[in-house]
Amino acid sequence: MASASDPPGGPDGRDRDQARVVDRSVPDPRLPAVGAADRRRILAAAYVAEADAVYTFIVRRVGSVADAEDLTADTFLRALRGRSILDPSRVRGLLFTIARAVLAEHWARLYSEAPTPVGTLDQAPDGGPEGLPGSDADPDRLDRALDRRVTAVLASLPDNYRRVLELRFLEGCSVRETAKQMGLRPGNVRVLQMRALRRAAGLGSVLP
Amino acid sequence: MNEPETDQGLEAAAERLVKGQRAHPAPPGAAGDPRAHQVAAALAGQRRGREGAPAGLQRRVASLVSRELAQPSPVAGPAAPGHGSGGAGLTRRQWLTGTGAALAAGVAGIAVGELAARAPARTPPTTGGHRRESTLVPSEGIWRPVAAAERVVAGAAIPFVAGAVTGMLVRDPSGRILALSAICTHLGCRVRWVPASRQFLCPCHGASFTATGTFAGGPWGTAYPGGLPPLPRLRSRVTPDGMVEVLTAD
Repeated sequence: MASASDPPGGPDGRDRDQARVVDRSVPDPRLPAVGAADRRRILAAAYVAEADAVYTFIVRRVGSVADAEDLTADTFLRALRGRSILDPSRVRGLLFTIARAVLAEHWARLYSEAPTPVGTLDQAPDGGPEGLPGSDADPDRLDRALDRRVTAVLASLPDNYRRVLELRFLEGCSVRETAKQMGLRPGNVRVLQMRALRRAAGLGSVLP
Repeated sequence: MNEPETDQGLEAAAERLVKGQRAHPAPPGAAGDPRAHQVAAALAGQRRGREGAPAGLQRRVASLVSRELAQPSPVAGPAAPGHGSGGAGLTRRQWLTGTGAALAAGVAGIAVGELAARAPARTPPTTGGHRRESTLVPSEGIWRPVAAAERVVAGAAIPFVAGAVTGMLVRDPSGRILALSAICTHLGCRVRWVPASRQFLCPCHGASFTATGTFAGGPWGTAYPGGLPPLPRLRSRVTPDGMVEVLTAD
């Protein structure tokens, strides 16, 4: 109410007229009267609209479709069950903040002896504000950071390391196919792949 | 480094990632470097991310959302204590097998299909003369909140990205909120709002558009041959909560 009667544009009459559009006491004439059920629909739609984006955000980090589906469900469940959000505009930020926590727990669960800090591949090299707890995650920015990181990691590897990772993970080749393409024996591919992953993980300047 | 040459856990994880299988807890005794596994996951994720979400995911999320929102009172605090596998486990199975979707929709009184596609289907607008304004109506649309209406004040343009569309919210001269595509109708660059002239300016070739999206000329007053179509309009509405929603495809 206060915000509607005091528009940022200025106190003159013209802006007040315009602000009336957002005054909650004067519903938008284009909308039918709205009750609790409609309100719930609007909120539900705001959640559902993010489904594919949340899944994609997660699958880009866990690499597995089945895991990503599970973690997507976890993310939505946790967002809805702990729900304090009734404002559709905050749903997106909430979902991605929770998605990051769910991902961190996923890794901690897999490696129960070595819990992983949130977003190892996500954080800006200088530890940008995205890494701070409490701020809503910006998925687009995090995705860009991830892409940069992946590109940088690949670029800094020796050719055969890069090639084995590209064939195996980016193209999805089997060990046998990879061996054929690289002119190696399958056993060599397995060893090379492990070395390449460890080298990539150990690139301290690239992966914090 | 003195790491072993082979790492059963990491090798198994890598194999599962390539095959698209679920991750498992790392076996005890594995070198257990989560960072190496994460590199493999992020690489595989590049491929999986491009494949897009599985068919039906949105529908399943819709049923989950409607079921949860139908619960009378939210549980205080996070739903799943510990590692989130306790309470969520059972629901996860429902989610995976797809059971409860129809049930949940009935309980919530929200038709899942309605959530997935809430907009009436319309024929795409025909591109007529350049003077005519066109409204972009997706065939499978969904209303997405983009900004608080009170932020949209006269003389300002609020940029937004909603699903497939990139746009700007403005007030038209009558004070109504107008949602315009922010994609220049010349060659597809994203236009900027110039507050001083209250016009949209395309950074690529200098085309400008009025605050309501009409083509206003090229750089230094030059006209593009035949002019340019106006910036397409998007269907928008203001919710009782004061949120501007735009009808967009995902």
